Amino acid sequence: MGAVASVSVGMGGCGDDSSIDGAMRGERPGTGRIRYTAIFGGLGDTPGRYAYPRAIEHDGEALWIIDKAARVQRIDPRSGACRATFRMPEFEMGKPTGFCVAPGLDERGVWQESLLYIADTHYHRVMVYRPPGEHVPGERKEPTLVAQWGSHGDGPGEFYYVTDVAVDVGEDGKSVRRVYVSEYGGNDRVSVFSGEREFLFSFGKPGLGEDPSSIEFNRPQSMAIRRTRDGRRELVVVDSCNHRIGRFTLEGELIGWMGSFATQGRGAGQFYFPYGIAFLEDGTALVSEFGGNRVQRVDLEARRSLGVYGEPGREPGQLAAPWAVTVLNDVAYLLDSANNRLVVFDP
Amino acid sequence: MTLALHIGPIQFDQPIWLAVAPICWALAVWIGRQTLSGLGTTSRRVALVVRLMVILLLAGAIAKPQWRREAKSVNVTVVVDASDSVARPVPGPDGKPVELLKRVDQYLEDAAGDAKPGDTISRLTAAAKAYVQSLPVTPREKPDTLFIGATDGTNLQEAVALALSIPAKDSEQGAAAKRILMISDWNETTGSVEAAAAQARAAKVPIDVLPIRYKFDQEVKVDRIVVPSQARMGQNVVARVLLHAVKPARGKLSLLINGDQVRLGDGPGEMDLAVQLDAGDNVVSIPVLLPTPGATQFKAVFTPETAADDSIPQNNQSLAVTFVQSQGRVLIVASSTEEVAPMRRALTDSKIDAVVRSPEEAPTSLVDWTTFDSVVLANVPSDKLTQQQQEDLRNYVHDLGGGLLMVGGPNSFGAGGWIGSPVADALPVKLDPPQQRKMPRGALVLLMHSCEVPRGNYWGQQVALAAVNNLSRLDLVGMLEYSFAKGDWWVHPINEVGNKSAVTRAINSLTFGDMPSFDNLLNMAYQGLSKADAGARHIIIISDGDPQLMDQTILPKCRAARISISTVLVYPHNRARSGPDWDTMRRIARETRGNFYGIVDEGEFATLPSIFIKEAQVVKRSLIWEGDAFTPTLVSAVSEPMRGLATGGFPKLTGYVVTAEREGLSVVSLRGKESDPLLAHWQYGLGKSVAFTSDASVRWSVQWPSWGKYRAFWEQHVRWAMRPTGNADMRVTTEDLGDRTKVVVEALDAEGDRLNFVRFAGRVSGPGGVSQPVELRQVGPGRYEGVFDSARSGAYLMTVQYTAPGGSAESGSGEQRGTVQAAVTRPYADEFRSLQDNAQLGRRIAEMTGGRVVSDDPRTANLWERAGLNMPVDARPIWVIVACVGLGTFLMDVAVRRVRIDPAMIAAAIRRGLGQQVQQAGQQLGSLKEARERAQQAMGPRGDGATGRRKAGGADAATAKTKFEATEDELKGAKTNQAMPTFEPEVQKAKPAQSQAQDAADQAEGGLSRLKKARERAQEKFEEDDQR
Repeated sequence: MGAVASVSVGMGGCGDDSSIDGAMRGERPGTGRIRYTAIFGGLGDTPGRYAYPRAIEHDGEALWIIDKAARVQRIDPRSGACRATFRMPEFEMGKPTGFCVAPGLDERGVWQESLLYIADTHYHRVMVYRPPGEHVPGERKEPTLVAQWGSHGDGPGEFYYVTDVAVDVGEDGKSVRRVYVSEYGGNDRVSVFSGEREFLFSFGKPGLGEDPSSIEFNRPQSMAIRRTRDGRRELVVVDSCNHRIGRFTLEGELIGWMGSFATQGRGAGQFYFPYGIAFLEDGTALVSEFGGNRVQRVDLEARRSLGVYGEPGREPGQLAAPWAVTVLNDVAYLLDSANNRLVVFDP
Repeated sequence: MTLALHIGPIQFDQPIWLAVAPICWALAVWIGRQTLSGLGTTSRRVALVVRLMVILLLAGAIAKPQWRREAKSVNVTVVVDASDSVARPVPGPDGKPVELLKRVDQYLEDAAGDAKPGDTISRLTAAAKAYVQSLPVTPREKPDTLFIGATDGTNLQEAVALALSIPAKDSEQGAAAKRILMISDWNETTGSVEAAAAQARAAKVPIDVLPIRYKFDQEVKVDRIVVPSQARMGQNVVARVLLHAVKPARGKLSLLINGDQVRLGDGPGEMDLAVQLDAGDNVVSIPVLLPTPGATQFKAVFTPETAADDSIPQNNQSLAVTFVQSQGRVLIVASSTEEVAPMRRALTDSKIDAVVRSPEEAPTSLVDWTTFDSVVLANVPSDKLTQQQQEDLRNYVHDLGGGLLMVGGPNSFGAGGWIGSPVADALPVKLDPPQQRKMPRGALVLLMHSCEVPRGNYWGQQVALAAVNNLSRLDLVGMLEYSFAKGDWWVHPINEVGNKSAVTRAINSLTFGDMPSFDNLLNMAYQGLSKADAGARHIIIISDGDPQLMDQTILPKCRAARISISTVLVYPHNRARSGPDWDTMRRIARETRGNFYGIVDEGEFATLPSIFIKEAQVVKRSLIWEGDAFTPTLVSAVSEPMRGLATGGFPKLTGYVVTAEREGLSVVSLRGKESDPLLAHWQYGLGKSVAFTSDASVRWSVQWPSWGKYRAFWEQHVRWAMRPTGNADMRVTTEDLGDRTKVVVEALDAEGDRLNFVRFAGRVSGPGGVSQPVELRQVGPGRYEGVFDSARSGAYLMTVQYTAPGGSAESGSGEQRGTVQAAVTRPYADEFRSLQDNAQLGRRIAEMTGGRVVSDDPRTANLWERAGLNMPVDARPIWVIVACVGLGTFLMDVAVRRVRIDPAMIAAAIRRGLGQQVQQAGQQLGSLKEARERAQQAMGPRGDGATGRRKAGGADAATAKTKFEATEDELKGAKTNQAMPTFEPEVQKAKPAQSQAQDAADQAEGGLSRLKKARERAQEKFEEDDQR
């Protein structure tokens, strides 16, 4: 895994960096604006720009971003420049809303450290890609499809609208133990597959309930597998329309909720349509709130808020419908979706 | 005006001032010889040079200097002709069809190698209108093509003007040089690119051209079909079809009249006419019998025998219209024939040709409407006619002089959803109830989520407006949406519609956020409607169906509160009419007894407003008054359609639709309860309309068919509204002027004499329902001319009402009135007229603007060529800086003459600083004294003149001598006695004061500094004396 020495202000772009808006720096204390170190992107269909970006992940060295033009871009975290790009093969019915970058065997049986597990939401399936090579201006490089599974339905291994994928990698780092797939649209649940993509079980059903014996989801928008302070791994599910975040064992047993439909709101410790989640090195989580137009740092175990970043708006430091966030080397990269930009900040 | 002078990066806007410098220099040298004579050689030279520099800088400052920065980058704006003539496959060099537009991207990509760092490219498309596809980006970026608009025309003038307006920046954010590259066949249909090229030449932007070359060697086109503009019913006319063939060709010609194919072949079942065409123009004459009255449309279509004989299928047809006169024909549109049966019988008995059709069979084009002299809408809801049909109907009345009668019923007027419709404009009553009326009202909540729909913001606003415009002023309306900034919120809280300004503002402020869930919003709507003082409560949801609905209690709560919800699923993710989004929206409608609509394709979006109009009617049943039978109150018996009907009274009615009186020229003849209008009529544009708000027979006016004047009632109103025919003979001809059409009317009276002083009021209804007035002016005896625009392809129907002197005894007015109609058709876009490119025009444009005809080979095209370009210069004034430097130099001039710099002493000081120990002040004093003595000895035996001058100084002179300083008098004497001109008077005047101040300062400093200065002056004296 590579390292990023620092986040710098710069220009984005593919090949050359001149096509992208200059990044901005600064904050306005006391206004609730986010203290950012760089802002990249801007509305556009050219590399390094975005059209309503909705999903972000990283591969240890660079960021991967999917926008509503169905474009998948690899972005240099220091400059915002595009390093690789491709478009989903089908997007007429809708575009992906979530994905993860994780290791796995490619189509040749070769272990790859970075495969893209894409929730192809409106095609009711998961697509796994080996990313294309370095982007060269004027050339279009396509990724290699490693695997795909799923179809429309509510049976085992079938999906309504897939929202996100989480991969549990074995302790040896050279095997995939399980793949978790979340969905919504009336069949809100999490389906669990083996490393060989065989359906194992699912948990959750549509609803607003908080009864631990009956797990209910209302648009589980994103997931992450985290390691607790005592070394255990657990699955965290952002139950967005129930305005809460759930912690589960890898077997799908509820550990606890933070937030609820009844307590939805914009106060500290409350959530209003949380959509994305990422974890800092100290185990605390950054939650991007689509409805709250902010990022909240929370301690899920203690169920308390540690800080709030951002306010609604279009100005630098303000946020509009932030869908997703990721953390690379303890630096946060936030998709300010309706502003079509990538915000870099040090939480 | 003076030409600018460039010296390196500096530009002088008024370089004439620089010429002053040498003159001043000469003066300065001459003066300097006198005034600087007291200085040493080096000092004098330095002082002189400094003065010259001061002069130069001051002259430079006056000459308006500017700092120039010349652009290094070039932006090429590529204008791609995307019109139909280019977008279609054209014959390639080998004769095979080629789609040239598809090669443009590859060409630009291959040509990008010539670009230098900082160079950019921007793109435009040119068709009927020009659109920017990409602002300047690096040449290798390939932006997607966005909206290009209608492609049935080519407006290169607009494209060049737009290209000139695109800002281009170089890498240093200054302006970049511009080139325009036009890729076109140069067959323009609108505007003049030469006019725009003149602008480009003035802006020094060269236009390079890459001509698209083609030529159709095998082509047949139908130039036009010629028929009489007017004819009588049952008359035989000859339709002449003009065809043009590039080479001899065979094919079949078919003729359609009002869409029905006319049999032309000789054999059984042969509908088409086989034709053999010679190269050049061909005429085929076809005699036909005119079958129906009104506007009759002819369409001639040529089908080649072999596809190779014809290259452009779009120009294989032509249209023409003949107006066939008739004696009164009325269309009755009604959902139930039974309901209008008495009315039809009454009209037929009055010798009016009355045709009854269902709303589904109503005319679908303006031409179809004109086949009737009047139209009756009997209890027809607005959603049964499309928006286009309604607009055509309004134009039919307003522009073509047709008559309209709207007859009531529960589906008519406001209760039928006609509020806010185009037809409502034509009616003599307002469909909103009077403000003061107390009546039960409806409450409607719109839940808006259309962001996922193509052009979702537009359609969202359109449907909201459609629904709101359909509500009456007393109804309640609210609007909910999800906004990124506010979450789930009331864009417009439930409130009375009123004059609609507040809710219209709210509609315009909709942000159409991506709604995650219906739960909160439906609860908000439920709570709002539960509190609303309304009879009917309804919610309409528009969405792509993907928001969540998890609250299982909300739908039962709505149903219990008698709140219905209709759902409009638009452009769902799942187009197969099933799936979770479909299930959610269906379930909401089903469980609350609302309606469900699924709109999948963009082609169906046009039906959305009518859905919302229909749904809005759910809350509008309150506009119907029903009760005990009452006798209508007669208001006006003297109006033309009511003549003779008032005597004996009117039968009773039991119901009607509540409307309001329309101020102005509308005449209300009968009133109902609370003075509501029952019967009204007015003139609307060229046509007339009548409103009868009760029904035709079956529900509210059951006593009317047995009324003795029932037939006269309907006959008089229908005849009043009918288009007048007139007795004058008006011969109409038209002439094609390119984008416009000239109309010529020859007016003759019944005896065949020319009619003068005829007044005309005419309108032309063109393609897309666009209406325009046409003004006819007399240009000769009985001859009148006018012009109207006819640039778009399609049919143009002209109706002119005339008022001529010499009325009949019947009219009693001394004037005769009538209507004359004509039609012009432009069957296909001009794009398809050209059979080859017009590259010559491109070459001329390139020559005009200093551009090039670039190579077909992108590797040698060199699109970013610098040669011939006028590189933009960023010039910033720097006269202030130059003036400041001049001022600083001037001070240096003073310093040179007043401050003595002793290199030896400086060197000594450096030496001391570097190594020697600091000597005691007493030692320094001693050495200085020694120096003074040496100086005295040296000066003693010399120049009496100098001594004499010192003496003249008196006591001060003695002091000065002691100190080896020049006295003030010495200085004064040296200058004033010489009486020399000076160009620095202020400084000279200031010198004595400075000197005094300096002396005072010296005294304050003590003996050490005075001695230093004395030594310096002594040394200067030595040097001067040595030189002498």
